[in-house]
Amino acid sequence: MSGLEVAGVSQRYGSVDVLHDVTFEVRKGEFVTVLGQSGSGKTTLLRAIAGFITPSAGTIRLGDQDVSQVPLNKRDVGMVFQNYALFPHMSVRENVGYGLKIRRVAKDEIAERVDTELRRVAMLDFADRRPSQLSGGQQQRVALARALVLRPQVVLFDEPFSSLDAMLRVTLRADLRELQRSLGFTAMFVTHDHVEAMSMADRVAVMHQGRLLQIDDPATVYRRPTHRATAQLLGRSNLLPCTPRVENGTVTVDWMGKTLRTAVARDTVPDQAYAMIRPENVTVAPGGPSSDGNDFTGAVINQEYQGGFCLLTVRDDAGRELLCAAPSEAPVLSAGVGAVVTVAIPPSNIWLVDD
Amino acid sequence: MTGGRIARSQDKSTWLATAPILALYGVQFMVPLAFVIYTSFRSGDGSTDSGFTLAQFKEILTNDYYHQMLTRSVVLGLATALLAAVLGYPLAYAMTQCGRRARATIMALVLLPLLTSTVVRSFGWMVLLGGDGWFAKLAGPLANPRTGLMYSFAGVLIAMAHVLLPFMVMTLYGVLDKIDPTLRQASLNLGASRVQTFFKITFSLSLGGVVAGMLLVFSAAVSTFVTPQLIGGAQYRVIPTEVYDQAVNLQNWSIASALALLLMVAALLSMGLYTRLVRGIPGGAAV
Amino acid sequence: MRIDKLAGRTTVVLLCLFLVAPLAVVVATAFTTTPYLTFPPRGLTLKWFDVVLSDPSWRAALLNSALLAAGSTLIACLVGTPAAIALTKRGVAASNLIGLLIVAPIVVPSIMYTLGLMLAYSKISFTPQPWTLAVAISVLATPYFMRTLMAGLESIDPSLEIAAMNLGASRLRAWRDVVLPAVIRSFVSGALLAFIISFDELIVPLFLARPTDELLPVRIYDMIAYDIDPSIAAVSAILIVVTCVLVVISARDTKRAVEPKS
Repeated sequence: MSGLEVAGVSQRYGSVDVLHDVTFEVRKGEFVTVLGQSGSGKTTLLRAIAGFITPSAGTIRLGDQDVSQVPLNKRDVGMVFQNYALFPHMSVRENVGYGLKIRRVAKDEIAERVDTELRRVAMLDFADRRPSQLSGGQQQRVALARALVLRPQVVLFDEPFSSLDAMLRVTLRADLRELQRSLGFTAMFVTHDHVEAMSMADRVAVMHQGRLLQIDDPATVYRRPTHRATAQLLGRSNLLPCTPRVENGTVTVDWMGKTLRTAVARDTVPDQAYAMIRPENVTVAPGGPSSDGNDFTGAVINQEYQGGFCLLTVRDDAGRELLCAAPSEAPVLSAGVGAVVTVAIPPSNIWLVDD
Repeated sequence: MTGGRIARSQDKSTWLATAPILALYGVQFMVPLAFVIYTSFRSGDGSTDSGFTLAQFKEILTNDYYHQMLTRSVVLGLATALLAAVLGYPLAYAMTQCGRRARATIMALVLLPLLTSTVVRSFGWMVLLGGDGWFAKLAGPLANPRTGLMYSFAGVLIAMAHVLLPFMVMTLYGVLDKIDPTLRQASLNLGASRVQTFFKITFSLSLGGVVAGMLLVFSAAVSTFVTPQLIGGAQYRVIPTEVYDQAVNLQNWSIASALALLLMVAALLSMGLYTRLVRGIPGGAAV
Repeated sequence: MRIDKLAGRTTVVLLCLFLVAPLAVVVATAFTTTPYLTFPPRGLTLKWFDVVLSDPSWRAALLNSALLAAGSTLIACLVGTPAAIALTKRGVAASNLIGLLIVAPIVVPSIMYTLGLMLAYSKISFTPQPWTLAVAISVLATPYFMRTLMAGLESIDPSLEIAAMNLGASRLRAWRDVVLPAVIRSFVSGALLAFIISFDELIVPLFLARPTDELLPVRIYDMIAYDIDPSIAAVSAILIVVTCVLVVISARDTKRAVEPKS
């Protein structure tokens, strides 16, 4: 059974299509992250689901109910805002209990449920404080408790961690995912951080210029992107403009005159495409002669230390450039910038992106 | 966001909500203004009316007496604006440099005169400027031994600058506060002295605010009635006191209206310029 | 302390003294034992306060002014509140016609406006009653009230209302629970400001009031012209102290309203 179903949702502002025909399904209990840059429409999508705006076209279903016309205060959707939106004149307890009070739940039941929820997010000790007396991370947890105490079918998160520092973000990410697993609610989590998107998600929905490009599990989106924009959103990689052709069911590409074999199985290919090679999927060795067409020899023109590994930019005589990663302790790096290296590109690590 | 329907109903409720205030202003504000404008072009005294004429304006612009009065008004206005700027700038600047408490204190001190009745403030100045008053003593030979600084240009000027100083300080503070503090640091880093930095950076950037404040004070100064009346005395004529005299004592409503109209034109022009200026500089009108 | 810092501090202190000088003087002279005004006061006595507070005509003036100011404030609140709410919701900028209209009474010299009222009332042969004064003065007070209120409304985080609705509150309920509490403070400050402005208004009563309507600012003004004695200082001192207290109560919100931005 689906927890959330979005079909053909479009949103126009004047002559601009902020959302264009977005369709996807989220299964009950699934954690989907929505990844995109600012302006990609990810926040607009969230608002449409929550009912803050009514889309120009399309339907939204929660469970098996069409909620497209249901007003925002009657939808069973929880929302955790980017700026938390905690009511400044109410205490933490009053904030969390607000939704229950509206629903006319009995006073003692409210008290019990609020306490339980606060305990769950480790904020019970702060129950009588005002939001202004809390840190960013604490406010975030209260905002979460306020949404969860109502046991909504779906909880939407609008970049909730974007204003917190990196270490706190990592902790809260793990906490949230654990909480979601134990409580079993369906979650949609908007973010512009690809690491966050991949690490938390059952599936990642990639949005770009108002369109949903792809929705798949993190590994698929990372290794088998369907669009160039998707590849670019998910970390650094090589996107080599090339001319592909099919030979015996697999694709071979011509990259500025160099022929590379791939393991991609396709029947037809476009005239022009992009070969995607992730830097970590190649092997860098000291330069030397090679007969393998998938070997690339050139000079290191740039070296970026990234901690566990180094990113090298290698350029050959014909002007082709390849971004490669090598473990930081690798002996081949000791020669530094200017050294000649040979990069081995396994065919199975080349992916073809049409767009 | 969801289309024309909601936007239109918003329009309707806006009109409904603003109807009372529009009605109030319409009847109680616009109508009187219209009357003044109308009356300034009619001849006749008191309640008699003999037809359209420009005689009042001609009179005002040619008669020596009015000439003197107008000049005095304008000069007083300009001098007040200048004095307010000179006194107000250090205050506003200090407010940007000091801590939260001090800033709040100065702000309160600046606001307080604004909220006390002009009569009370002018009264206080009467005591200070009079024959025995401290200011009169400070002024030494400039002051009249018997009446001190009362009934003089200097006395009126000081009192007016005081009354209108808050406006200047508020305008200037708004502008100075918005100046990016890192600009000053950059200037010092590039080798400028503190004094140079102040004049080349801070002061230059705030110049627009100074002019704006002066326009505001000028506009208010030429329209002030109480202070010139009390400090300057019955003989010290500026436009507002003349309007009162003509209207209430002499029943020359046409002349009074003409003068009032001139006054409004001057005030509107200054305020128009002020608004333009203040919108252009960072830290200006944000409403 | 460095010389320029010292000079700067001294200047500011002197200027601050300048700001409060006349007010301090007024309060001080109210305590003098002499039957004439002198500063510094000679001796200390409360007798002038006693004179003022027990004098029926001063009391009447105080009461009348208070009633007038209350009436004017009431009108300002009734007229200004819906307008302020509607305009804030709509995000009206000062360049908008209505925005300009709101501040118009502050910009137009009040002497012109008052003259116009006098002419208008005379034309229809109407003798101004106390309530007409209240209406006339409310025009001057409303802009200040509205600006305070609007400043308070604008400072509210818009996502709060939506958050409340997301939690199930109806539009009205959300407004009541979330927006209203934040606004009450600005409302009260605005009303106080309107009251003070109305109370202190001199020009409108000077032109329009009947001699029998004793109003405090007018009475002070008349006495200054004809019959100066320390009782004026006593009355003024009372006014100053009361204003002080009110300013302290609502300092933050008042500042935003009297800022001379057009």
